[in-house]
Amino acid sequence: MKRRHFLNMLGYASAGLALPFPKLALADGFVPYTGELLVTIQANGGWDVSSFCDPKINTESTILNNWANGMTANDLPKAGNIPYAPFANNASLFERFSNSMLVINGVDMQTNAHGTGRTHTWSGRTARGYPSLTALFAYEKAPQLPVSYLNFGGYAETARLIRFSRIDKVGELRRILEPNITGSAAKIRNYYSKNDLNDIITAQQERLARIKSDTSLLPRQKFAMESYYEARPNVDALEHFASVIPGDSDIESSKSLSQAQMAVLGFKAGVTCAADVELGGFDTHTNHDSLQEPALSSVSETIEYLWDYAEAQGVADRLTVIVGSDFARTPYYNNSDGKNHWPIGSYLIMKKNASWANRVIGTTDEYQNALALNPQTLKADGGAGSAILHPMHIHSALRNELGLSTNGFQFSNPEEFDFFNPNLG
Amino acid sequence: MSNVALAQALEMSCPIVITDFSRNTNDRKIFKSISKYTTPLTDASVQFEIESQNTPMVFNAEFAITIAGDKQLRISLDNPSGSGNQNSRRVYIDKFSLKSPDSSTVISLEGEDLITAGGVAVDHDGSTAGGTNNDNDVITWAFSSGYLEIPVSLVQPGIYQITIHAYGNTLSDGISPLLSASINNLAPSSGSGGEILIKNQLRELHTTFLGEELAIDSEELEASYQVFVTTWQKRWESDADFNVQASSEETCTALEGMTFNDDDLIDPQHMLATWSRMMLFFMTDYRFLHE
Repeated sequence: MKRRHFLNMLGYASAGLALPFPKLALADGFVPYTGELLVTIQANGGWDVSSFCDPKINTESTILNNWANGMTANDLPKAGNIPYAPFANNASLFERFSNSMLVINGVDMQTNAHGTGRTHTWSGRTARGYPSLTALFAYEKAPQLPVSYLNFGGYAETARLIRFSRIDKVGELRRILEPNITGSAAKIRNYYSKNDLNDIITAQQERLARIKSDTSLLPRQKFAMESYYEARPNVDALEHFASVIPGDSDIESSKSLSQAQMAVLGFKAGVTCAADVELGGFDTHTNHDSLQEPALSSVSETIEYLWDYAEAQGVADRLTVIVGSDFARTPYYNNSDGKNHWPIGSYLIMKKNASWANRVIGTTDEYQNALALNPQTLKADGGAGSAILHPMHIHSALRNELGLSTNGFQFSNPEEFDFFNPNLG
Repeated sequence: MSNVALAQALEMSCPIVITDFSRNTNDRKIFKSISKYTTPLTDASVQFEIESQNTPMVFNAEFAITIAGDKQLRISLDNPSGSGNQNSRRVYIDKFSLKSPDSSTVISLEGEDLITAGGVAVDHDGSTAGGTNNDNDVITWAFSSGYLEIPVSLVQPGIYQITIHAYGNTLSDGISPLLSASINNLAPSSGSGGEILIKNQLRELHTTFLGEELAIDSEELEASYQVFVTTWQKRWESDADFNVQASSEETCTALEGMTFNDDDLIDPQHMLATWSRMMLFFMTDYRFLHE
């Protein structure tokens, strides 16, 4: 009899939980992680960078942005060395964080399809099956952590390097982190004593060690068994995670902010080293201004909250944040006051007090077409070897900056752009 | 994360066991061929409902013994409390006897002579269960929790006759005390009838939950049985009360749409607690989770 049949037979099917079982690792002598941290903020749907970090005023023939009516290029606000669009809550974000921010504009995502755009933006390739930067980071930095890669949605291909932990509801998370706790806060009880639970887990580990040594197992079966075997001893580490999660009244009610909050708490507990935060609402084919404005505001709000909360929890100094989207939106409005898909987009890369911050690299023309960049100067000066930026260039440079190897996942780009050299650009 | 499966199993394992054992035997889904009173030591067991409330009545039953040897005769109160009226049920043992297949007397003892004859009366925490009682010159051993036990030597296999003279106090719910008499082996892996029943149940659980067809003498089944025995022995050693919710460290809540009464949670042999932990063992097994 199979598990679901058994549960149905007993009438208990609804008691089951619907979370996956990502790979966890041994927590013997669990030591909280204190190394580098990474968060990607994935603005799914295609953000309008011309109303954000690659601001575009109108031309004589074309209205690119309604907010730019009557403006000249000189009217565009600038935070440090970074111009930004006077739209949504951009001012707050750029004015506060320009010293921690590198803007890379003019990146050609080479697609107008959402799925391919996300794949390209977050893995550096248009083909499926390659790991997200987050997965690569978690795999190389701290695969032993119980929740090494925390994902709240968006692109999370792991290429079987590691498994991500998907969290949808914080309330459910608390229950999962402390599975042996029941009852109300006023009257907390266990299901079984800790000793009893440990005895059963120990016995089961011994059994799993026996059955996974079966030489007739298929590789996939072996991998799954190994993953489960390694995950079992993590109860203590996960309880440590639970211990840093505040009460329900202090959990952010906003979905976007709660993602950032949980990521930071995972960092603080030392059980997580990388996380994906997913934001939506950017696919504004109609009524662009009224819909893109709150979506971009949520980007700003989430980034600001992430840094503020990371600072408050003492992990900001170790954190790198990358913000991106499937692609961008057209440098003009359609007949429904919307903007359709446009492949030339941008990345924001943030790190506190980074020497390479407060810069804008990459250039687009007045109609948001990418201009080729000289890898020797990081300028659109037509020098030898100039090339249009693609996500692989960003990923290649990020891997170097973050200290990630490219073993098995090398890009084919002949040119390297050192975006993190503060003397270039 | 594996904690998801663990959370589900922690919540459900005990209620599943309690619910199934509270069903009539023919209606059970899992424990179809075993009693919640059958332990690894049990070689043979019978149960009496002690209806008499004032004077001793005679209760007779037979044990089928397949392997002779040194054993223990144990008399246990199977429902020591109920409906929140802790320890209100009480049994008074006037005397008991055990006769061999050839009708010779193996043992015949007045209840009040239990201790002096080399027996014990044991409560959940190892203290003495009950004591002598005198009602209108009827002297008994009276106890409201735990068991009485005395060594017996059975020289031949066959049908043994147990006779108990006893009366009891019911609760306000009118449910009489349930008394079980069992012949126990001295070790849990000595081929007792209980060991065989438990191994068969474990084998069925391996099949039902994990899709494994194990021989009764397989190493894997023996490993599961040893987990079972160790769990059961630790339960006794912990001095836990005879209840699956013996402390704030234990919770066994009926799932939505179901209720447990106090008697459902009583566990005079610590077998419900043991089966619950084994259910946890099976419900978090890799092969149960990966269909």
